[in-house]
Amino acid sequence: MSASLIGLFVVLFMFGILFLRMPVWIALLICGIAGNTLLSRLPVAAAVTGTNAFDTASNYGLSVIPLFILMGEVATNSRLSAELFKAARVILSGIPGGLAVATIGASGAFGAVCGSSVATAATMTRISLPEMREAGYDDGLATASVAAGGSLGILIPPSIILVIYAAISEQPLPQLFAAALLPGILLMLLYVLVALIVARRQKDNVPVDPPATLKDRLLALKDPWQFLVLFIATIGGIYAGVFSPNEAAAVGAFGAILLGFLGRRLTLQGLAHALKVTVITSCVLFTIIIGATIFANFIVQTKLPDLLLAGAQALHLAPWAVMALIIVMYILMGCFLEGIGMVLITVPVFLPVVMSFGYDPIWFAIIVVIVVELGLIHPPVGMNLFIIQAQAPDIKIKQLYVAILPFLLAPFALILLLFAFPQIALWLPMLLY
Amino acid sequence: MSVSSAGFSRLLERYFRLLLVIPILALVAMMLITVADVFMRYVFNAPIRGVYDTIEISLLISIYFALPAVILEGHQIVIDLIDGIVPERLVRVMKSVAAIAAVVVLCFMFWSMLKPARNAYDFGDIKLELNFPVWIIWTFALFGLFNSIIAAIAVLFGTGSADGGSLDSEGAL
Amino acid sequence: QTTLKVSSFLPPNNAWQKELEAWGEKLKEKSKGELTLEIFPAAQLGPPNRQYQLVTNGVADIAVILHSATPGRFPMTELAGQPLTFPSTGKTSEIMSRRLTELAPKYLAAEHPDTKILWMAVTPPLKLHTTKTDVTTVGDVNGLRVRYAGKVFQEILEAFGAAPLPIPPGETVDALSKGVADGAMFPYEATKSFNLGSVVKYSLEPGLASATFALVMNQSVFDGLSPDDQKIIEETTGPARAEAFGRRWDASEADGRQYMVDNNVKIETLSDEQIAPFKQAVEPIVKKAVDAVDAAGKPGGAFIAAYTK
Ligand code: NA
Ligand code: NA
Repeated sequence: MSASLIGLFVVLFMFGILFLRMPVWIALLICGIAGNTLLSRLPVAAAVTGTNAFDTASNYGLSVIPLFILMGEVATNSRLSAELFKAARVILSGIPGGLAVATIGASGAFGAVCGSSVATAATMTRISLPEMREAGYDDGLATASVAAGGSLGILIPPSIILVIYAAISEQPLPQLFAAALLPGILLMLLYVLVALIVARRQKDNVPVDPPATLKDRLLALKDPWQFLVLFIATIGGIYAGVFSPNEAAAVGAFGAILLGFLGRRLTLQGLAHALKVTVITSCVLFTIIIGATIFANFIVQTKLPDLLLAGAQALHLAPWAVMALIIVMYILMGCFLEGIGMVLITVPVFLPVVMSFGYDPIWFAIIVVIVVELGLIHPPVGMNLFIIQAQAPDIKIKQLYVAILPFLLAPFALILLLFAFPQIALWLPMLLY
Repeated sequence: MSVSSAGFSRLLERYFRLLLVIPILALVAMMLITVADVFMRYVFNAPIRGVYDTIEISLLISIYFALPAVILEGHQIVIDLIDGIVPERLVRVMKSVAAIAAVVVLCFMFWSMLKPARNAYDFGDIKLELNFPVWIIWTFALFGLFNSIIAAIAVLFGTGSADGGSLDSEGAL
Repeated sequence: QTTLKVSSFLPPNNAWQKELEAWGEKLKEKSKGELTLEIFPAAQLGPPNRQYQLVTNGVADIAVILHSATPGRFPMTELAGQPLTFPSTGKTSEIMSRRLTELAPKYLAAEHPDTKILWMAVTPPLKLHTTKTDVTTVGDVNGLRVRYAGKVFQEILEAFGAAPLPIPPGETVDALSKGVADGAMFPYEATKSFNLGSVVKYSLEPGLASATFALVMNQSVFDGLSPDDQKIIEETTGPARAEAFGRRWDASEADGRQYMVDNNVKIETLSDEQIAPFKQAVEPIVKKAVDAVDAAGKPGGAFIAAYTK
């Protein structure tokens, strides 16, 4: 049996056991180990497993992940994110769909200190979903705006996906973060647009907050100043070349703790809780990264993706058509796969091809993040949807699937915009570096 | 489950919770040493030696010492789409299969790490800046994995929370 | 028909990739298509510090290894990468790579167990490039923040009183332009590929130390080949290939130097007299490394004498 065929079978097998409730990291490991054994021998599979399990867990570049998670967790535990939402709510009062817009806006702002979409969605679910439901919002719009807003966490820097992309593509992380900022803000605005249109069409199920006075609105602006401080100190510090991303993450986490204690919002208990959640969350992420690294090692050797791309090249497609094909492949994979695994498996394969067609690797990183984001919110496997459903079990997943559909248009629109105007991604890194 | 085994599982849970203090300290160390390094670099033009190595070692500890709790408390990410569709009994069977797979995979990982750990010892590998012997770091990983195997076995025999979709507010990914 | 899996942690546009592809063509041609290489670049099979194990574990049949990626594992070979330690006949990659490959069977094979060394390669020496300070004395380096990679360079910089910063190569130009670092240690070839020409104002010659590479093959895989195939591999590797590969590096080094000249970088070429204090400052580092190898019962002193002859 040829290596590519083995690869195909193992991939199908993996989809099978994933649907049969095998934990994602174990499924990746089983398939990576089995695949390497089929290609070579068991000792070879063991060598790959043992060294990768060690190296991934002690990779300096990945240490940003727990530190950025910690910064976000501390912000949540010192109720910074709740304040952010409250401010957005006052500022947007009187607008139909204002709460949904506030959710998306607050998610975007929270995404500026948190590197993970799932963490952003989980935080905003806790803060804004109860408020929207209490206000009498339609469950669909309420949950969909949390899911969509949450997905901004990985596009607006910092971004765990970009950390991983940087590690495998050897692209400089600061440039990647810079490239993601404008598309992130743009996507937030597109989501807002969708929310406003949906709210207008469902007028009866979307009550309007009584409008606040201009003075109250302006006063509300000053509450979330800590976010501004954290964002400027960390991401601003990276852009200005004061910190490396690792240093920014550490300084940001430290700063969040300091701000929390100074403002008497963070208790020792709160800090302990944030530390515990961070440690557990990063461990879960790293098990998946380890599994995906071992699985990717196998997939690289099967030359399966090369085969797919050779096929595409044999068809003599135009560069944009190849890109479109790659994006379609990502979207299909996003139906079944989780984001980090997807990036680890595909980027080493697709990036050389994308570059050979003359596309910029930094621009491609932004496209990858957007399709991964899309994967987080599109059915059937959308991690953000599951997060919300886990915290609001009375909402039917089917209802979520329907409500999220109009929001899926926004990332698609952004992808088209990036094709038409690559400068949206490339202008800021060019300016800064 | 007999009384004594219930007591044992409580003891186990307490042990793993205690073990969780170590990765938390490692995380704090990672943060503080980086902040200190930045401070020393900007204020005294004297970066701290061995920051990279310290962070890499702390990161590994923070992952492998948290793994037993992750497994025991069932924080792994699971795609549980079929839960509403298939009978409850089948879901229970699949959970057991996943629990067995976890034990097998963790044992394989443990075994596969023995040889490279041995190599690191035999060849005298050291960390770049700290001159710290790499084999010691391997023993940290092996210790964490060993405990994870115990946790996975405990889950298999019904202690802990197995997996419950497990994306509750606490395991906020 | 035999396909050998080759692992390299270097990117596809690196000199190693070009040399491996050229070697693969040669093997294919001489064996009439019987012997081919399948190259996995860019650390697809494992990170730099795992390349040697990839070969001994059978994940790959052949791999490019950078000795300094695994501190402690190749103490004897790393002596060739000690500061200002070059063959007296010249410090081009061509000369050093050939010399090291010739010495490998006698001195270095024991450090590369279970593998066959196909050839060794020594980079053109890494130079010190600075943004603000025109370095002509050791004192000029004192207090500078300098980007480095690898233990030896860290020790060298500390000996000069500089603060070594481990900055990834791709981020160096940014760190230099924003003043996070005042200098960097690179061969000219790398200053060109990482676009340092616009921010660097001064380069110091001669280079201070080289990095050593080896291309190794799993011994039992080699032993399992047909005698014909073995002969083809022997014929196409060894000192002659090392020398040719070194020439490839020297050419890109010359090209990189021209790039710096074109960017109005002032190249300070120190005389033997001027370089003597630098040599004095690093002597304890070299001595310590040689003594450590000797103390382990291995002929470190003899090897370094043969290498610098
Ligand atoms: Na973010
Ligand atoms: Na999806």
